[in-house]
Amino acid sequence: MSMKNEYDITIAGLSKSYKGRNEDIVVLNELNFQVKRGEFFCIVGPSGCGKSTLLKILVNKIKDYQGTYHINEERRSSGIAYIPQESLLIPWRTLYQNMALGLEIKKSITPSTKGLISDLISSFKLNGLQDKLPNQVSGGEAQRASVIRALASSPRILLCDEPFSSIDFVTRLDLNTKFKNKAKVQGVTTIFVTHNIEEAIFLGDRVAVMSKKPGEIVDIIDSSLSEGAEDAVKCRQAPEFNKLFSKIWEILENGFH
Amino acid sequence: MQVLLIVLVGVLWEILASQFNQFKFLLGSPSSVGQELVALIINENFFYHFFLTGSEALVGFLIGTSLGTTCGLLLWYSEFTSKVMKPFIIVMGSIPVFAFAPLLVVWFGIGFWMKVVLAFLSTFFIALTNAHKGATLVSNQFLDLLEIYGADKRSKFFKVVLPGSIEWVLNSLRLNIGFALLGAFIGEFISSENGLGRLILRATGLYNVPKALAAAIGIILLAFIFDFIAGKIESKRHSIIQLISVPKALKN
Repeated sequence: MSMKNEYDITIAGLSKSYKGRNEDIVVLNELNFQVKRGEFFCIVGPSGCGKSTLLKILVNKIKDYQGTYHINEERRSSGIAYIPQESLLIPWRTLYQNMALGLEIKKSITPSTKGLISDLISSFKLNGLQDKLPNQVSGGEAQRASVIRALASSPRILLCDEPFSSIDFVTRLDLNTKFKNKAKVQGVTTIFVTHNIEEAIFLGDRVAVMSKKPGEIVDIIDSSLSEGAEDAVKCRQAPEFNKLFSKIWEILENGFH
Repeated sequence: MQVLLIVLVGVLWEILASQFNQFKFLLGSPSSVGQELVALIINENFFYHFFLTGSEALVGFLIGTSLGTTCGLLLWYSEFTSKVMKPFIIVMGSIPVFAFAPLLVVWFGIGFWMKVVLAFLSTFFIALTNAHKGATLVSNQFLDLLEIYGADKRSKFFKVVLPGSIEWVLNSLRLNIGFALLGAFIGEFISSENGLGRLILRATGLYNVPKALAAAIGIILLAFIFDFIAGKIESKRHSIIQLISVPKALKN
């Protein structure tokens, strides 16, 4: 396998700036990184460091930027999914119809893909809520439906923009565990943006730490855990968990000074 | 409560009419309106006029609303066409349709179709602007999400734009009932031989206020019936959305 194929996402010298009143405001400055196939790549940084802007560039919503990015064409064409910060469920569709949206667009609603949705519904504990409308369920339940919508389409590339940021701590740990395991089983290449260090350490195979204004990647840290890698609660017992936390914290703290 | 209010107003009206002749001349009385209504039904084929005005309004309403809604929604498809057409739509929409009425007599005569065209013109632009507004107000976030999943424009239209604008379309349905009736009514007013508008015009020409009011009851009744049907359609909103935008495989 050539080097090019080993990486699903390659970002080279990616910068983005907006025209300010007197001078340009740099949001992203010279980002360089690569994400391997099947890798869970977390980006952690303070609010306003340009994390979401990066994802918007990757989903083609922002088109004027400098530098380049490359997403493996074969993987992109077989499926890209996005989990936004808010659940963004279509209000007139039932939870189930929202979950199946990606499959519906691909015209691949079959007994087997419906089976996959049912499996996801049971693992994310949404049984009995399939026929409810989004305004009839809680924010956490809606967000879980949004995660299922992304996973049900069996994407090859998954982009997540702080999907769990508005969910309470306990539910969040549970969701983290399930989400990571499902993503790993599907072998999806994931970029996961968050401002929560613990979440980044648990989910990510690697964690990129960004600084605020201009958004730069200060360091990329290998965050593989020797213990509890499959459980968001148990992972805290891994000997390297606290070290990783301190290391990331230090970088972020320095960014503020 | 509403019935009580109507009864109260009716009683007060009757008393005032029996006491003051001028009042009775200008407003009639509930009992005289009732008598005239019965007379209209027995002697002047009231229901023929009732159905005539009703069908003029209904046909104009159906053509105007469906065509206007379709055009309004289709404008979403092409931003260019929408931009080019916008000033024309605004101008056409703000011209009082009734200003065209005398011309319509020249073009369509004084029969059924002149009133239909007037009802059509009264409803078309409202349906068009409402549907277009509904379509453009659908959240871009949903459209972006669909695009990420690979949706084409047609798919975006049927899955998000059309169901998302249904609220606006249903609103224009309700609004247009009144305008369609007004269109048909004004048409009859300007020139006609039959219809409730004609009855009212003839009665007021003879200063027969109770008779004019009795005919006006017909118009009110029509408005009630149309509004009732529109209300029924509105209450089926969810089923309509499911029907037009969700594939069978995802329904229960």
